[in-house]
Amino acid sequence: MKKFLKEPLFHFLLIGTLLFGLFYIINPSEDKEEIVIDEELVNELVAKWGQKRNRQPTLNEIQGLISEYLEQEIFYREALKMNLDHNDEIVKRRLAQKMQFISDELAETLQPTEEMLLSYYENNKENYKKPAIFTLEQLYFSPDTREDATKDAQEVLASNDIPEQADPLSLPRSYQNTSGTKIAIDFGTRFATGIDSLSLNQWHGPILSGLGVHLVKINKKEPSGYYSYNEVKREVGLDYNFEANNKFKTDLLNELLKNYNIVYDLETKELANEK
Amino acid sequence: MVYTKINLKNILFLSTILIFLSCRNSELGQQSSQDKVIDSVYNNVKKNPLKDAFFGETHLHTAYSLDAYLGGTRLMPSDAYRFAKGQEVEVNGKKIIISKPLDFCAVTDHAEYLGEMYANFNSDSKGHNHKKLIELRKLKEYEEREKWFLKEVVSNNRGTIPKHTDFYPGEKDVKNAWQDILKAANDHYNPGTFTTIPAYEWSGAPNGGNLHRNIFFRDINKVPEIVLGYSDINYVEDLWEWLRKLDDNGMKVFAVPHNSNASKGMMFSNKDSKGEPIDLEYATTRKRFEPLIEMMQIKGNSEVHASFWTNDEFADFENANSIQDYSGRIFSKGDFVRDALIKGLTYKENLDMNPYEFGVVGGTDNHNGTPSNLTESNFSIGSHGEADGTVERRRNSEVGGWIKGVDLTPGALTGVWSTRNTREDIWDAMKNKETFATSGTRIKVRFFGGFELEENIDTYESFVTEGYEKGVPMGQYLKHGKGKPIFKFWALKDPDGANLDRIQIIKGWINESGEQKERIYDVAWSDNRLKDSSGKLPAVGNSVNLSKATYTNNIGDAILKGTWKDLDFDSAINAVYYIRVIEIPTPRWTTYDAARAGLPLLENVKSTLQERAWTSPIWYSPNKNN
Repeated sequence: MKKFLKEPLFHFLLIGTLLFGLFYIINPSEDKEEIVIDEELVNELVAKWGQKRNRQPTLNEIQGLISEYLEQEIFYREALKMNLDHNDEIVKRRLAQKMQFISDELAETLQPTEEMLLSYYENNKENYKKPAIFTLEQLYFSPDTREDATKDAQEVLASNDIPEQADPLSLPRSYQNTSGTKIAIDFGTRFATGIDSLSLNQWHGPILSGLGVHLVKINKKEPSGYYSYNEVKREVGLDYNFEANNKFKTDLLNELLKNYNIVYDLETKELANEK
Repeated sequence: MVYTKINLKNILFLSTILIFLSCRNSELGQQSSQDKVIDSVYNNVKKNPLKDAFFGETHLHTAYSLDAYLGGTRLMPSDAYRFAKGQEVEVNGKKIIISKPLDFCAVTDHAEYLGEMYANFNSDSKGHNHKKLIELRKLKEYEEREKWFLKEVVSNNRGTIPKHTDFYPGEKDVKNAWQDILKAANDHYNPGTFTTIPAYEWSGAPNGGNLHRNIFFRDINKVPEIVLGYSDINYVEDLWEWLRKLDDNGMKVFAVPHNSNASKGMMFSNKDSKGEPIDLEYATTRKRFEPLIEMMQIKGNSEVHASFWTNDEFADFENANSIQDYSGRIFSKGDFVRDALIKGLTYKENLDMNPYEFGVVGGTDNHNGTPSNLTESNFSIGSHGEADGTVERRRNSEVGGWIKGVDLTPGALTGVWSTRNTREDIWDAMKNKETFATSGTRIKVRFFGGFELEENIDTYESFVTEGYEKGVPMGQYLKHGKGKPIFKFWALKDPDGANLDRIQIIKGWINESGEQKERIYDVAWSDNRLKDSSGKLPAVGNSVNLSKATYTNNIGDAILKGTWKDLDFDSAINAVYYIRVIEIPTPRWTTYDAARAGLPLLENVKSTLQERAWTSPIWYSPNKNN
């Protein structure tokens, strides 16, 4: 914050606000500036990009290059209006960077209120999914030591006489209140998918994992859902700030964009980005 | 000044933002409330007395490392932690997500040029507008950046007495950068779920020989204000002196060297940095501050090399030979970890102090800000920004000044046995050497030794309990006893990966003539194979389909375990033992690249590999222990 107050730009903005207010009253009509995106420019951008890589950019990538160009061009022009009147490549980049740094710093200093965080949490709930919590038991049938581990598992299941241990495994027989994520890490993704919809309190099998064959009994399952706001308050704060930084710059750019008419003079109509 | 027409709206927009600035919360207040949350979570993390294996990254560079920045990396430590936890990030315009989230992660940016990087990022820094940094930000093409790096950085760092660059902005910016790094570590620490470790890299490289060390702190509230790099501390002995001052003052810390393969004879030299023979003081200091070594990473495997270990059928693994084409980094046997482990026994014999009494870890040295991006099938964006960011560059080009693209590996992984996943417990386990390294997959391996252990394995629980109660785990000295020592081991495959081929025990010792000796024993293997008439175990087979880059688990075993008694044990001589677990063959990343791009496999480049794990050693000495 302090660092921004010292910036000459800040002083310009204050003085500017007053001066321009006056200017606006005197000259109310707003003409939009033009930025032209034509074939020549696109070819230039594509050529520079292609030099680093052995192929032509995709449509998406070309659109990205045009966006990048627009961003730099707009920031540069805005900075120009507030400061100097040069058209030097180095100065251009420097001024654009300056605007970018400033927008970064502004974004960094914005601190969200509790309401803003809660609202962010609600809008992004999908990022705060809670896996199912399992209390389960499993028996392991090793394909290394058995002719047919699947058949053996089926026979044990059918016999209704479930032993303490089938084959030795360096993972526990029983898991208490363990997240599905940890189960997936320990047994692999195939097992985690396999136990997802098993009914409770009875042995099921054969369930396959990357390690072999299992019989599984789920004694308790809290279904998957979402962490409550309080459970993930810290993460929400971090995520909010992370996004706010990015969003701020985009917002600023979009605001400034409104002052410009982007004229697309291209054969490939798809490159004209409808934002 | 001329003010042309300008839209009042955007000025007002900016002005309202400025008004918001005054509504800031105190940053300090927020910090301590975060610490309270961390503490309360920490207190609820349960301990597992049998211990779990936690996997993580111990060597990672973000945009705070100048060479990473030059390669196009813009991810900061916070982004690196997000990637580690499983979120998607963008590197040089390409999106990437980790195959499996990590349990812990250390970001280890270079101390060198840390101040310069802070000045580069922050327009309020006095050094921000130094002409060299303006030049740096101006550089667009990769080749330009490489040239700039070689001129401004490399030649400065490899001279006899390195000094700060002329755009060094002063201590304040180094401290600021370090604070940013610590803040990111604090923000992302979630005890019991995800651990961050405050760390950095000291990049000593006299005459281009690699003597880099990563430095790891135990407590985030007990770290120095500033981190010292190669311009501040020119010799590793002085680095240890600085660490001693910190450690003696409650700032617990240790160092981990890496890339001994590229150290030009210096990592395990019998002379210190000033050319004096190693003495008791040196050995004591090194043993205290270097409990671990990073044995494998992107720039090759430093366990052994095929040229020097012709009797080790698995020695030809990620030898990264092209490293020798740069800066005269010719390999020699003494630069490899197995040789150093055995050489260390000579010092134990003569000084009763072994400077090379280290456990092993694996890291990446990834310069994209993407920790542990290890899966061979997920190496599509490479590891060093533009240098290896495309199939074309990986096949035909190099990482400047270091290694050819084809010799890279995605890196290695550290496994830690700990009762729980908290920063203190993970750090303590590393200091105690209860660690193992893998070449990237999630093999879990346990290793115990003792004279009183039973020569059979019943349940896993009894195997572990007995191991701790009657014997010692990896990283420790055998307790003295009668007869021959028994070693017990249990390896579990990566549940989403390939089956296991075999377990080996590698024993090293010094014989009566003072010669270094070693022997490799196959102690457990898959598929009930029978050794041939010469006692050699046949190869496990190969299920890889090269054109599709796939494999099947119809060979190998999911679990390998067993016991082994050292019948050749001699209680009068020093010995070292460690475990190596080998998987069945799987496609190498170069094969995935070729399959996806529809290109032929490269000649003289391996198309498959057998991923593996190595445990920290168990030592024996006739002397009183430690």
